[in-house]
Amino acid sequence: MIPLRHLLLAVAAGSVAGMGQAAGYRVYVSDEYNAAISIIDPDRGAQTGTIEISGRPGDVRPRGLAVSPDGKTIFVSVSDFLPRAESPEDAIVAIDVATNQVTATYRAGGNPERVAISPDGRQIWASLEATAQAVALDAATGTQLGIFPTGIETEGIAVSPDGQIVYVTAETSHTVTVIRTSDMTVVTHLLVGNRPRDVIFSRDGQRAYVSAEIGGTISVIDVPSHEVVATVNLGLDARPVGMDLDPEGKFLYVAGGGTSAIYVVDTETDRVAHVIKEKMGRRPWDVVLSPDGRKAFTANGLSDSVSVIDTDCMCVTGQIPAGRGPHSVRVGVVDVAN
Amino acid sequence: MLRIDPLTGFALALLLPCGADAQSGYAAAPFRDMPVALAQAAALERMKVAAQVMVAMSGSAYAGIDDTEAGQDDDGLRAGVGLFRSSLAAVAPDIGERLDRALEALAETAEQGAPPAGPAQDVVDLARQAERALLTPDRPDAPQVEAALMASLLLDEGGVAESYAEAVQGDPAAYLAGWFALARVNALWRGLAGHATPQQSAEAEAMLAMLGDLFPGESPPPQMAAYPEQAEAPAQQLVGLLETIVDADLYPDRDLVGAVARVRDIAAEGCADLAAGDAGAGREMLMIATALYDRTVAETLAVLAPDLRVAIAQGLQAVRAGGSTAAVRVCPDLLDALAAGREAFES
Repeated sequence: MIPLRHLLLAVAAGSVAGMGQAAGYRVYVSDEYNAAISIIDPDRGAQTGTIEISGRPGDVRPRGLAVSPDGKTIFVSVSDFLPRAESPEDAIVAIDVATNQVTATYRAGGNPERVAISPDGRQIWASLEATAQAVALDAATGTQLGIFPTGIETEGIAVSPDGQIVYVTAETSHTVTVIRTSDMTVVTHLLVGNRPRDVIFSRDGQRAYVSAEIGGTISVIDVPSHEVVATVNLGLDARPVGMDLDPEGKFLYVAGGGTSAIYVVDTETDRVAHVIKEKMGRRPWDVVLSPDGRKAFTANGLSDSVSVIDTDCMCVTGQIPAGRGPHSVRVGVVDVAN
Repeated sequence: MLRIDPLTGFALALLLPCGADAQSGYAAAPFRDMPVALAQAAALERMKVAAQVMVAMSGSAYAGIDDTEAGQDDDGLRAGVGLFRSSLAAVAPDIGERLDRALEALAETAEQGAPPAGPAQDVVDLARQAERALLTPDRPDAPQVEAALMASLLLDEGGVAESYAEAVQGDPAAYLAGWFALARVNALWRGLAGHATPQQSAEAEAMLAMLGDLFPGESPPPQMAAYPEQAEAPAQQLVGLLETIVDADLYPDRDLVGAVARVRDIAAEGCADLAAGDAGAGREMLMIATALYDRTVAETLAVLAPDLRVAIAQGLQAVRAGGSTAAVRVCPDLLDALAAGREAFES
């Protein structure tokens, strides 16, 4: 399976056989209070459909999203609203991007919040908020491959580009748990900024970035040593949550949550290069870059919308209505030629 | 007057050049500079809320509802007084004695199954008097102190956000606790609003309005939104705004190294009091150290150094329960464990 990043860069260069130059994408938004996924056509700048996750909005909520390496499957972590124990609603749901149909539902464990996919597409990793654990599942069968103790109130989760390491954040203990996938072992826990939310690896896998909501910072971790080597201060009132990197990995986009801003961090200097506030929707909880890196989309939890950012001007160019309580946003690849 | 612990603050300022204000960028850090005073003020706020809940649950709107939760509040009332009893006795012994008697009367009515409204109202009134005796209203850092109290009322256990999460699951006492805590937040905000810019004020009012929608009246609405965390987002956002408005760090655990150092300093002061034969002051300081420890660093230590967490919890319990003899025996190990906790965060 070709990693999505390589695929997208190749598509941008017009060099993938069979894909032509027409490969497009859709934006998927998990609507926490609608129990649904909004589907957005970025070219039309409009919501074009909804995927129902449950007929019981208010009881069941979709939150974290992840995309398979080929971009063709979106995975959603689904749970109830009482993060105390495992419930029948707790699951990982797979959605086929081509058809927008749910193709699989796997039992996950206690209250999965965010989800990540291994680079080979074979493993699903989920943070289990209720039980202070992370779980690995076989992506094809849903079989549990391992379950691991983490910090308290597990949230962000990411798999390194080489598939060897998984980082899991825990918001109450302010920690990141390191799991080695070769022998499925917890290597260590490390202290990061206050209330860590999301985690993302750099493109080369040498660094990882952890957003600290109350700290107002990004902790930069040296992955080979699992040590925090730098802290990016986003500003006094910053409340960073979801993150994404541009295709080259030069800029880290950080959703500002309660600050209603997007921070753009230059990963070479570890400094804030841009702060986008004007016309932003309220409480952006997550952000994702388009495959070509020319647009960014945010999931705005309080304004029930997606803000569209032009990454040339670093400005908001549009708002697209979504469902109630957008939590996460990801991009799925559509093979338009087929 | 109140134990604002200038010595501790000065020592911390020397020991922590990268402390909370340096780390967060805010001009003030009330939870760093006056942890004892704020722990006592927060305990008084919780006491008032718990007593108000008991008064309200005696009323007709709650007739027939099992008041088990209100009884639990009575236990909480008596536990909380330990955080300020000695300090209050030093500055206003009459209020302290009357408050103890009111709490005793409240316990007796609870035991007898009688309506607790009368003694509970006495507790509310005396807690207000205690607050005035312990906290000087015209102190220069009053806005930061009041903002810190608002943060505690919004985010701590028993506060607005946590109470809402419990209320959604059908706990009427929790709903009332949230309602009264929010009323106090609104009252404190009216005193602070003048420090805000028009935009900050509008944003804060919007967050308060969102919280008000969740607590529309003294009785729970017939149907509550089933999202336990729904109050947390506006509460957190409001605290963030308050930080900007008063230019103060309002999260006591933002700087964990500083937090564990504060716990150690307060525990050391308590140990010294106990060793000197002042059991009341010693226990008070150790209760405050325990409360601060539980609130700020215990959960992180549980992950990074679980053995230390157990050792510290056991040490605090043993010193509090055992008096001066235990202090002499246990305190050195306890203080060493707290110092090791700080090292665990720094490594």
